[in-house]
Amino acid sequence: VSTEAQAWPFIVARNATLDWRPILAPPFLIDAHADYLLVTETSGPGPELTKPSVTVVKSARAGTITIVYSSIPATTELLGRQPAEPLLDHFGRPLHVVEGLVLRGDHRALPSGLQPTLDRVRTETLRLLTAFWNEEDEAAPPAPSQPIPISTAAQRTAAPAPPHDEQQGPKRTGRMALPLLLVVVVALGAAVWWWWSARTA
Amino acid sequence: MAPEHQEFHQPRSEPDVGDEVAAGEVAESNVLGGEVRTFEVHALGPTGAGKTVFMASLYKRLNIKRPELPFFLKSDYSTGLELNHTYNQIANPDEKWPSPTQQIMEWSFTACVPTPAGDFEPVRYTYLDYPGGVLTNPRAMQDERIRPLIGRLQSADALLVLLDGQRVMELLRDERSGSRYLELEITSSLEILQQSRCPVHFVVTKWDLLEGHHTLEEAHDRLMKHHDFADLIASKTSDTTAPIRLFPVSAVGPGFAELQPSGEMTKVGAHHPKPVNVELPLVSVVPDTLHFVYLEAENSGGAYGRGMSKLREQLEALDESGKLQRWGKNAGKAVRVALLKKFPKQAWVARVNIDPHIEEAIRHIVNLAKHLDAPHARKIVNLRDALDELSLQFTQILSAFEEAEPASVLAGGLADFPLAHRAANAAGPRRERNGPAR
Repeated sequence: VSTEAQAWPFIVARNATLDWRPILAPPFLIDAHADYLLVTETSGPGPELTKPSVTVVKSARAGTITIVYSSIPATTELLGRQPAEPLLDHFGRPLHVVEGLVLRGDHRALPSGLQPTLDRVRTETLRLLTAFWNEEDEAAPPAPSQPIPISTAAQRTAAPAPPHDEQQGPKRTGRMALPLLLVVVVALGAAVWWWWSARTA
Repeated sequence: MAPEHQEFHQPRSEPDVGDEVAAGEVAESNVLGGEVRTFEVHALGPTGAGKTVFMASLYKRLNIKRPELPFFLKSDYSTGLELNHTYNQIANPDEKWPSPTQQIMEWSFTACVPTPAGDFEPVRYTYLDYPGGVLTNPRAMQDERIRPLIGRLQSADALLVLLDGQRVMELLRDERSGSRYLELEITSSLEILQQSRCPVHFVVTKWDLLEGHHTLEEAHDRLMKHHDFADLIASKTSDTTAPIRLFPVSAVGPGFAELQPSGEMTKVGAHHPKPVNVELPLVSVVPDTLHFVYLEAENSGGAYGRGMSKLREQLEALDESGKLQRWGKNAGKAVRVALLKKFPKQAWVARVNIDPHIEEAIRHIVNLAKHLDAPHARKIVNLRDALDELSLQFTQILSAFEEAEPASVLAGGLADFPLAHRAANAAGPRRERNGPAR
């Protein structure tokens, strides 16, 4: 039995001068002034591509949350510039970007099939990082993210915007059901009429 | 001081044979006399100030026995592994600098005194590493995990304020970015400093950029010309007896990295890194804390304060007349015990809040007087002796540096504690060390 849950995308990054901070975070963490935990709880090996990790965090302000995250090296490609070159801070240190999802509650037995949903966070990274790269305001809050429904037990994403061909599948099945039912009813009626006629004859 | 505090991430440690042996040695040392003294030493500085690089370089410099130093640092296996990894990344000219710190980490080391009787570890240092942005980002400051960190920083035994050498150089050249650094970027660090009473060590990092172009005296004078900085020093000086120092430090030494017009530091790989003065801030923690604690107790007034002053005067007088030796080896101990009996610790702890080190401070000045009275090679047979020796040697190193670089004293210093100053310069075993950075 699958359980539906909401997953909020988040992004942690830094630019040449501003230190690590969430630039996209769930609204409930922003409102509770608890979004900075996304920075300290998602530390990794640095500018390397990492596999998704899961951590469960108990926050006095935001309750228990589950964070699924991975890191990617920060390159100019994320700013829409080619060729891809490493992004460095003002001191010449290489940077990375943390992308992930936040779920309310303890979901440490998360499905392995979250990758497609995680991949969708990249769109947000590409959308937000360019503006953040020029940001100078220390106090700028992160952008609030929109939840994505996922299925936590069936180990698959309930993607809200599936590909067009998948969207059409269930609808075609629905349209065929009624005529089939009519055919069955007519056939059944004909059989009963035939049996009744044969009996009275 | 040292309130109950939240512990932060520590390097993961898998128990192995080596760890078991080390733990056994420490336990044995404790049985042999005294207890390990813990000093919380934390660094303040915005992102890029060099907190991680400084600690990795410090560890690398001190994890090996050096002839000019009376101690070396020991840590658990995984801490050593992580710091060595960071340092190797720094030292390798083909690798980039380590990434900016994203996590709050707590490092712990012991200062190990090697003796013919074995190694003793009388002092433990704890050091917090954290993303410097928590001191400048108002949203980070509100975070429930950051508040305990700030609390730990405020209650440190000693604070290291890391001043970016590049910015200090800009200040010396009267560039706007230098003043801006003091006025905006390190404001939060200075605020935490303002709220603390402990000894403070300003550490000018990346000193290799200034070396040969500017002296420490010039850096001192220029910093003191800045009204915010000068006011802070004046305010601290009037509030506490805590020493305030200025150390020129380079984690990699001259010729290893070059400043680019963009502001980035590029490794040139011409030399192997040769850290300069990285040990000085750590060395000064023990004597500065003990002198500060003693003077604070004196200044707290009342019967206890007067008793502390009297003890110091007596010890100084005994030194001058050479009576201490005639009194016998236990005279100092007798005075200390009598003092503690007369003024129970609990009674004055409530008044002056500097309890963890007061007994050590009293013992330290007795030890200084004994050294003045009869400077000779000392036998170290237990943890207690090791701490006495370490405190004395640290005082000597600090005194030598003060003498070579008077500009390193922003407030206080050994001149405020004549017994220490004289003991440091008394005849007796003393290790030579490298000269100051110029």
